[in-house]
Amino acid sequence: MKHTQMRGSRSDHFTSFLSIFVCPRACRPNWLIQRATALVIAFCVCILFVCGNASHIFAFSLTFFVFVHLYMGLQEILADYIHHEITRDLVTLLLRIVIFILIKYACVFLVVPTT
Amino acid sequence: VLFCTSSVCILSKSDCRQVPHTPPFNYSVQHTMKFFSHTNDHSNVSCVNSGTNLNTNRPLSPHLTIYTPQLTSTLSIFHRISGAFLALSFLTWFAVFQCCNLYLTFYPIYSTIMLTTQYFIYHAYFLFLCLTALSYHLTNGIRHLLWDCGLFLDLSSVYASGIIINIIGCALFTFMVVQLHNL
Repeated sequence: MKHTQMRGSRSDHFTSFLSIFVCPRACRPNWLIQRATALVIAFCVCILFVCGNASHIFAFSLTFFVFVHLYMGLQEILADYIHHEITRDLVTLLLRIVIFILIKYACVFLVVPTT
Repeated sequence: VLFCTSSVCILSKSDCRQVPHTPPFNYSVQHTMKFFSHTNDHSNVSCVNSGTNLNTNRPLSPHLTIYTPQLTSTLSIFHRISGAFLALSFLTWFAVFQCCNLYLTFYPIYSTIMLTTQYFIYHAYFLFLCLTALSYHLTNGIRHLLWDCGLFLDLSSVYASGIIINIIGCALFTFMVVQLHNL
């Protein structure tokens, strides 16, 4: 957020316009949501270690939180190591699309288990 | 594998008050001006004083190539590496075996596996590598959550908790291997 507000001093208007159009906020994920999902995943994994069995709702919530946590971690890594703005926004957008499609498949797989 | 590196750091008795043995780059006025200027323009700027271009790949936050390896920095970078490894392996597994409906009677799977595993001989240990990364990431994530609550932020408690989570992670790994064997 600070990253996007500080931009645009020397002839950077077209770049900032494109990056705002592609990715409306900065690529940094929310700090609190990442920690909250980590806490939920740790709690669920501890319950799995103790019980060793999972219901459908439990597996669905665990898969959803795992996907959100995974998406935020990958987004943070990409935001750290990709320096160019348009490349960073494009890669995070592609990651967002891929995660969305995989969450859709996870929901279908958990509702209708085929294997 | 992950715990051996941190034990090497423990045995080398390195503390965080060490100065870096090599300077990161040639300091100049333009570097400091660029550091405080808050612009993202990394291109079209060349350093006149040292004669080098600023658009080089400068080292990033854990500074692996500059500082000597310590316990805290090693645990930090392995937290990130194990998280990325777990994420990519989970995404690959899920995308290949759950989404794409790759049946096990599909012949090109075996041809690609035969062609690719010539270079990865130890693919049988991939599950154990995943379990190691999972146990390490779980325990170190709990330590990070405790830090975010404001606990254990002293230097001595940081080192002590690093050693303790290594021990707990080894115990968790053996527990998971035993559970997997019982299945």
